[in-house]
Amino acid sequence: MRVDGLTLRSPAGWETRARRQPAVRAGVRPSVMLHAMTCPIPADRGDFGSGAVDVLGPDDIFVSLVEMDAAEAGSRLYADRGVPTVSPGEFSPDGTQRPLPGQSGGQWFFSVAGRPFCLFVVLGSHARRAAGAARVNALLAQLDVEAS
Amino acid sequence: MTVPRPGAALPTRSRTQEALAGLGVRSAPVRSTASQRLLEKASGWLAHRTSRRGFLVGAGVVGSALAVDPFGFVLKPGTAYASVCGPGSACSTGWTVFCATINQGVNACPPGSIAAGWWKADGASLCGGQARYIIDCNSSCTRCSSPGTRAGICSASCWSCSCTCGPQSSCDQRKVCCNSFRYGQCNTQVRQVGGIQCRVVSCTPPYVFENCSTSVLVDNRTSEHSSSELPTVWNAISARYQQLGENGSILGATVYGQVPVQGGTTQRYQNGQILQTPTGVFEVVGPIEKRWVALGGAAGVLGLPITGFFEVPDGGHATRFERGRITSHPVHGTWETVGKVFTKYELLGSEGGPLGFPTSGDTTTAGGGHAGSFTNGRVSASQAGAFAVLGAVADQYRALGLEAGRLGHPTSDTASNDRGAGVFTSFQNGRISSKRGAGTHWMGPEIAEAYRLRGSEPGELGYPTGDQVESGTLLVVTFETATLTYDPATGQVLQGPVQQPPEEPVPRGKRRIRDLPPRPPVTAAG
Repeated sequence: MRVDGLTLRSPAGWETRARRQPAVRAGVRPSVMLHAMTCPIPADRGDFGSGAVDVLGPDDIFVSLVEMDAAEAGSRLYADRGVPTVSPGEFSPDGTQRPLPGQSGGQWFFSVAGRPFCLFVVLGSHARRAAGAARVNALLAQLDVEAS
Repeated sequence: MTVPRPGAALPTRSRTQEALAGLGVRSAPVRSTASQRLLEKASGWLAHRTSRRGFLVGAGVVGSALAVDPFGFVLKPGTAYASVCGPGSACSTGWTVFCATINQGVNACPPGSIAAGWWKADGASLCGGQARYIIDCNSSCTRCSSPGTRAGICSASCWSCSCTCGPQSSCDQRKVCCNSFRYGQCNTQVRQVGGIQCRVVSCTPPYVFENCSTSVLVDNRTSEHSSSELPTVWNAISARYQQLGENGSILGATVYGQVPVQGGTTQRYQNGQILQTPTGVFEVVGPIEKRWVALGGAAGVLGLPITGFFEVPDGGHATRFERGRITSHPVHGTWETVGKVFTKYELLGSEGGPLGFPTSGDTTTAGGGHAGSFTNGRVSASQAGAFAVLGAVADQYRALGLEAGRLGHPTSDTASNDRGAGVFTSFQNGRISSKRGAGTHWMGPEIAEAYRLRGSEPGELGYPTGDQVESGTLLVVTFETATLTYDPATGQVLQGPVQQPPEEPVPRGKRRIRDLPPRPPVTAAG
């Protein structure tokens, strides 16, 4: 999958989708968003997984990679550089927009090639977060970001 | 009786109670439409099925439930209360509570929290079918200094609030300060924030009024999430609020929902109200709203607004009401003009006219009249009518005790009868005349009448050069060309020559001012 300078060679067992975010101002390039799931991606879903996380099984994972307004690239929240490697300790049952029983979420804000991103991951099972984190890292290893 | 759970937020007063508190308006029935009558019937029926009768009927929750979730409510009327709050309103659903629910009805981030991100929900009935924007207010990391995480959220032990559920007094019992999540478009200069304390809603994009970027994220499943402490309908009031800029407007955030008032419906905000009245939809804002409420609001002396908030000369603002006007100025204050005083004030051009800005409210005067003071005069209303006393004449009138003083109420406006050479005002008990060079002087009724018969200011006597004085048993006024003397014993007024006052003796060694050599002129450059 290649969209607006984002290339994701998804490993086996992942389904991926991409969206362009609507541009609010004329002349501004639309931001891009990638969704990846280890189960079929519902058509009706929120950008941070509302409607998608509801169908996760214990071994399933939802990943949302959202590009933010380019002006945010220099801000403190997006100060980390490079695509992150996630660790199991960074997942929390409360770390989601809407915690669901058993699930676990984590967020990472960073910039790559001057482009700010938010990575949001929901694991179907907090108890299996070690395995989940490893699978997410395998997915992220296949992500390339070019300067816009 | 419901006992709050340990650690739960304090129960709030009902929306109607809170909304009416401070409005200064008497709640009254709104004229019924067919749909309202239907709702009233539904409310009556529902009243027998719930202990929340006062809330449901008074706050129009039934109507709101029909608007937000008509099928759900009709099929399951027992859930009307929950229908107002939309889907997922229980704590167990995991969603976060609305700020209005825990912030005394105010749809704004509570103190200690900041906007940390937002999303859009399309097709929201509460925004007239357009997009609705939900803003997360995240708590701060004030309880300790943790190094933070890559999630932009500090450790939960550092958050400025604690995890609980919404109050049982509201149908919005979603989570308070539990979720460790950040949408990431707002206040990104802040590296670490706490968990989501609550959510703010708006029909205006948050980047218009908050420190947020325009990155759009969407979650349409939340379009009908709401609270019984938020406005529960979209109508002309909502549209006007959106037109003014919603949370970023001079009105600020909504405070609870809409409530009926005498003659209309009102929505309260942090800094005013918007009312829907039989003549339109109008905002009453800031100090003007505070004054209006202090005067009884819609049920008070001024009645309902008939205009919005508009600018007047010299940095002031004003709003017109059914029976008057309130003018606000940063220096002169915020005051009402009412009834005949108001009519006169408007006739003379209001703030842009010769009276200037009001400096007092409506005051009752001797004999049952009314008056108002202005930066350049006074309007006094009695059975004789309402008259404007201006400038130096007003100053002298004030020095003589105004309506309760020796002159009584004015019986004419301050006007000129000699093409602007000077001015005069007639009063019940006398007259004040004023001309540059001659000064501003008063006379009692007998001499004033004799003066009038001699042609007054443009006549042979000219202007008075001194106030009326007593000379023995006589009353004397000196004019430019003559004196008039009234003898109370005979009731006659006699005209005589001007008498120069004798010069007072000058002590030895002193000189009169007029004998001193002239001082050099002082210029602006000093």
